[in-house]
Amino acid sequence: MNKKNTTIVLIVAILLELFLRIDFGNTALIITELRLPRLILAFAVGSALALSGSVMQTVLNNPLAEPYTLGVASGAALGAAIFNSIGLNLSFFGLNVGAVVGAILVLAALFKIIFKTQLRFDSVVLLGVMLSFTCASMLAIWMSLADPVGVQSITFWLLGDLSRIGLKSAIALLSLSSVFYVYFYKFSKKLDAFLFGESMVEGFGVSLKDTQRVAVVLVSILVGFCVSAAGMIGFVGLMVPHFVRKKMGTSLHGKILPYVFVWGGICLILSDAIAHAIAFPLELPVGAVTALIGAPIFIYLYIFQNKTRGFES
Amino acid sequence: MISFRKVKINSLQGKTLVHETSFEVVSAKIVGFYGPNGSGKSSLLKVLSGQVRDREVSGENWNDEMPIFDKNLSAKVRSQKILYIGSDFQTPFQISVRELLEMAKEANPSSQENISEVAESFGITSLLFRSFDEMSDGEKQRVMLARGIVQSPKWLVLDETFSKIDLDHSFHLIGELKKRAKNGLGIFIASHDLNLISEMVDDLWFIKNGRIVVSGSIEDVLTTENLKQLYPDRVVHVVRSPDNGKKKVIY
Repeated sequence: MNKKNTTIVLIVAILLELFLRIDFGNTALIITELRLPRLILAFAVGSALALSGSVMQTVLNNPLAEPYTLGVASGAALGAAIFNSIGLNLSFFGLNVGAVVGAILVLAALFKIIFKTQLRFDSVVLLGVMLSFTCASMLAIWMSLADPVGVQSITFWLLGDLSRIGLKSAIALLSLSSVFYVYFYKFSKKLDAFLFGESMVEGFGVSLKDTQRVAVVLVSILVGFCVSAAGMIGFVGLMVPHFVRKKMGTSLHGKILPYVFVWGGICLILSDAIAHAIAFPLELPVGAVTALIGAPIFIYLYIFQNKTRGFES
Repeated sequence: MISFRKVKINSLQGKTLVHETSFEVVSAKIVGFYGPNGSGKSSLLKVLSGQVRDREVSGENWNDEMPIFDKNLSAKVRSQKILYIGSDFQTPFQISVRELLEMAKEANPSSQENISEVAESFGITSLLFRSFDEMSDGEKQRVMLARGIVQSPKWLVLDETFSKIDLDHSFHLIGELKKRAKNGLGIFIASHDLNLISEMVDDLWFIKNGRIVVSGSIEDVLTTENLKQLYPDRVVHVVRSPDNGKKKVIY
């Protein structure tokens, strides 16, 4: 994994997303009005999710942590659904505020419990999964009680959909994602201190609580906006950081974060290109595509590219 | 100087781990901790180095003029003063030994140690480009000892950090630690291998049931009677090594 092949793959992904299965009648219009916003949004959301997954895995010292396993995404979805149903369509550059509120509430609840009970990190993901189930079932109940038209529109959104957002909002999200990237990149050294588990963080001269707090708050804001813009897109946040660490043979954030950011974007752009091209003129939910393609690749990489680890211990 | 004043340690569930304890260690030296499992050794060592996160701790812990328990004391400053190193190192992440040592070096900008030199003297040069998560437990412990030296704190707290290191490496590393101790590094070391730590410690403390039951120079403390206090049912003899006259136990 280096700059050169990352750039090549990025360019190929962009070209596919822009030109695959394009109707040559009004190419220019489709590209500027439809494909370009999607492209930008896909990059913004993919990079943000990968960044969030990477940071969560680190500060919880758990390779399974990501916005979805921690319940953040379900919380965002629930928040958005509730805000929508009660007609409180607050928006920030066209992005749903309800989702951000939901995401932050779930992570706040999670970390309140952690700091109050001083649970070990290992238990946190388990707790997150429980919160995730709770939010998902509340969402299911809410949807069965709400009006059917609203439910249908939200169902597709829940599976991940990059087509509902305009260019302006996509650019806003990309800026947000980039700003957070820069921040986390500067934060690299503090994140590194978490690589050897919670008992060693302070030994590297880094405050465990402060760093965790900052990371958690920033990640929930970022994921909240992602979910509000594009619905639930799982797997990018889990897979991309592992993929990058494995390929680079290191976990130091100063080295991996740039690649995590770009590959997160690439991953979602490619998934979206596939989602809108494979069953043309029908469209698949991009969230389903990321997991369907990502999971087998991930399993393959984990088992076969991991000769020294994986099977032992 | 370390000054521990009326320190009490409870678990979060309210169980007493260490009863009210006060002591002073006036100058840098090597202090050995010895006692049964669950006697409070680790609790004492962690709290000594400022790790109070999952315990209830009262009292004061001064290290020179620095209040180690003060919540406003930054982790950075504290880790430069006193650094805790345990025995069990697990990580799900790939990271090379060299990168770990670089992190340690950056954690203390005033460290004068050179990574390559420390690696050489600690016999881990061949491990530098290995991934930490793939090494054996003993190798990890050797690397973590080197990391402690690279980070160069005033006090190093080693909580059974030698538990899986082989005899040959152990003796070599003890030699290296003693060299550093001569230059002013203070060391606390807990171990169940008295014959090993008797090679290095100046003082020896016996810990039992959350109390320091005996403390003093190893010559005074390491006696059959004192060992009887720790393990009343065990017959233990204290003899002298024919090589260097240091006290050893046989059982």
